[in-house]
Amino acid sequence: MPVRRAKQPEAAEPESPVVLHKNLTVLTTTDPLLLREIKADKKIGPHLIAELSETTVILAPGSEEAVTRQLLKAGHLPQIRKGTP
Amino acid sequence: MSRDDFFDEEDFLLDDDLAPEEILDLRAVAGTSANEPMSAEERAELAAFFHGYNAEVLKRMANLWAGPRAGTRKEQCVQAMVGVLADPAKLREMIGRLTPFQRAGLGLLMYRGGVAPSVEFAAELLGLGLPFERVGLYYNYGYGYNRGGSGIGALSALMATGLVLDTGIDDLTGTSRQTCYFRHTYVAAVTTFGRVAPLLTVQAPEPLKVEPVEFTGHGRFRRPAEAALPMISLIDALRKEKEILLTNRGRFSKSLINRLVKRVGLDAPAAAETQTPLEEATFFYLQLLMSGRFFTPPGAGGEIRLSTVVDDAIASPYEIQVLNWVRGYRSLKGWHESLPPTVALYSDNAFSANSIHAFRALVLLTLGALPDPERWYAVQAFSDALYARVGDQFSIAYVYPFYTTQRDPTKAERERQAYLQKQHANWQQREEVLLRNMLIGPLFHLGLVELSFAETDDTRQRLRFRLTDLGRTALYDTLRPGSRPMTPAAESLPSEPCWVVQPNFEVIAYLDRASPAQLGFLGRIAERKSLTGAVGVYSITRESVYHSLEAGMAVEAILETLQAGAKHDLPEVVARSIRDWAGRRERIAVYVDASLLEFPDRESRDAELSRKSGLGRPVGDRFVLVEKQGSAAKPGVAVGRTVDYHAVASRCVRVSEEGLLELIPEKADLLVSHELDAIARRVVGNSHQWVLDAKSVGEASQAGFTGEAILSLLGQRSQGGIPAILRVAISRWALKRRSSKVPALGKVTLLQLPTLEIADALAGSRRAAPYLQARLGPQTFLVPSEAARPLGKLLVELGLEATGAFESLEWSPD
Repeated sequence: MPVRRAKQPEAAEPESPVVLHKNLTVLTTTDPLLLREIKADKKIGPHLIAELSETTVILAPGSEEAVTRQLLKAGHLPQIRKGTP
Repeated sequence: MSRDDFFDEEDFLLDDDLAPEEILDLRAVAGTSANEPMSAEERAELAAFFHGYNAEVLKRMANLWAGPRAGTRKEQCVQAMVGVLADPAKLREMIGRLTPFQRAGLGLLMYRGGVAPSVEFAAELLGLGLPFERVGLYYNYGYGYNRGGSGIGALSALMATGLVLDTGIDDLTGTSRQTCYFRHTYVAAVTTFGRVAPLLTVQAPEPLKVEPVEFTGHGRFRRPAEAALPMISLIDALRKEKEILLTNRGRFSKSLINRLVKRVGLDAPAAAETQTPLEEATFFYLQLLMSGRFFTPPGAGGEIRLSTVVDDAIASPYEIQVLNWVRGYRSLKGWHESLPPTVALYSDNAFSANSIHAFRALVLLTLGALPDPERWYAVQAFSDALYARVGDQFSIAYVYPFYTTQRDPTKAERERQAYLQKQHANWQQREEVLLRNMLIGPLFHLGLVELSFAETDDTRQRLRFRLTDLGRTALYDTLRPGSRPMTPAAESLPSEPCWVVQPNFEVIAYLDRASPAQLGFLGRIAERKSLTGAVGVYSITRESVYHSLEAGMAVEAILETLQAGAKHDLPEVVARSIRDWAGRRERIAVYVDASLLEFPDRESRDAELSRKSGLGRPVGDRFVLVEKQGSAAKPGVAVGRTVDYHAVASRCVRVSEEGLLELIPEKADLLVSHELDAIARRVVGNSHQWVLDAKSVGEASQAGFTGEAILSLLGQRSQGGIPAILRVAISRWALKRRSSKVPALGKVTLLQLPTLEIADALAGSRRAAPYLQARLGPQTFLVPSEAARPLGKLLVELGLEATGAFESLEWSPD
């Protein structure tokens, strides 16, 4: 039986100041006003937790389903994408 | 696309009643081709397999396989049998010696994919209408009733040859393998050797002795598209489910079924059909999809999803699809036809439902034994013919054996005739009623039979049926390979215009002209509103188009296909709205499991973006939303630190006893500041510090945080834990009502003695004991307030005049 080798952790490069954030849920809009409108929604707003720009915000972990449902209810048609912009 | 594409052999190994690892795959044991040479290892493996049988069984099997020359010793028998399987010529010779029943039975097993559920297969063997040699006991009281179904004799006869074996149940019990069905407590499925398969083909059953009826009128039937539509609708409804979870008992949840019933809208119209009702239609089709292997096997949490073959399956020609429907219906569990009043099922008992499965298999097979597949037949006549074929051996209830004490042959025969009449009468009230319910229910709704209802008061004579084209393909032709050419493959089917798109977004589809692919397309981009005869009415809505786009369809493909199937130009308003909806979908995007690169400043971010094209999309001042990545992202830039938000949260906060929360920047992630903001106040002028106090906790509490939630959040984030006193404080601060368990402060009297000797003497004194509450130190005692005065008097009496203001000892705690 072939022996499975444990995956070696990727070598970190401590000198690099770049941080990779993996497995986040990010909402983007094409228009800052639209994001403001979404943030003002009482049911969606609390799930938007870290604004990276005026059109991009990070969603609270595990809230993507509730946010999507509420967006649809509010008449929006969000694209749901797994990982890839 | 051929029938075999949908009859994936592996599927047949996954019988619901046995875990895959418990199933013996004899095809693998002895190879899949009769012409392949058998290696020494394979021969050894096969010999070891045969050694699992006892000598008596082996002798009988070897005698059949290799003839009398096989020998009588166990090892000789094993080697002889291995020799037959390993030698193609000997194997052909052995197959040639089989009786017509044995050959037809093995051919049927091959047709079922090499593995078949025992109860169904046993009934089908009886339905072949070929004589077989009965083995051992025939009437088996223990198992005849609801235990693997009645009619076990034919399967036992086939198993006695050693060519058909159970799928490994003996490996569980550890007993010697058996070769008779009735000796088992329960045999889930049977199988045969892979080398036997290529030498056999399916054979049509003997024609039933049933006379057609003359009928020239038109009956009621479901067109193939009508029959396929409920499944297309249900599949579409299932696609909208985020997750399909089975209950602990492996069933669909009631809430899921209720949602689907509401979404698909099948149940009320199907149940309301006066002559051809189908009860619980949604559940029927759901179980049909399940038993037709349209779902993936359940995961660890009971989650299942639609199989990847679904799209191809529902777009394939109806003549191919119908084979899946028949396969699913034959083994369909959980749902059953309306039952005769004399038959009861125990819903949770798998054995109880076996007789229904067996009867379904019997009927489906014997519909392929009609003398002329294009003629009409009275159900009563078909039922009588079926009784004549299997009635003395099969019943969905119980086969009462004939028994007489008469010695006079004439009287005995008279009694036997009376017994047969009684049995037949029971059959008419039981099996015939179920047969009728099968015809007007599932078989009609699946488009397999055309029905006509004669105007007569005799209910037995009223119903007539004939096979539809689809029914003939699925039930008759399939047992006669090569009798009729198969329908061309799906991709070669022409897609003619078959619908009209109206400005009010309704699509009127003419089902008799619609190809399965066109119906599948409509089901995905529109909601079905009604189905009347050959016309289906659909509605294109914002939600339906949105879901189709989310499922990966391109807006131009939607418009092109909609136009290609339309008899006229698309109304401008419809085309414009679809484009508009697609455009609106571009305005908001939610990226699940996305990755972000965080740079120290805008300059370095922009420099990296200009150096590496395709890295991602710039976001804000310092971030890049990475393209083409998943959890194993390799963004292509030097990364100093990786934060995985699926992993345990980073411990990046120091918590002091005073409630100061200090962020450790080099360990922080993008969520922690927000989390701290929710429970504490930022320190002005310091972006890395927060203060947690009664006020901030009170505000968090007002916002919905409980004390436990705050402690949990801090516990996950704190480096070194939360100081115990702060933990107590947070719990208290978060209380919305004052607790009754509060600390009490009071005034006390202390007695301090000058020497240890005096203290010990006093501690041991019986006179002093009532006045001393506790010894706090070597020379210090706690004195109840009310005891101060009497203790003072005692001390004076003992010559130990207390120093200090003696009178001050008289104060009250209040």
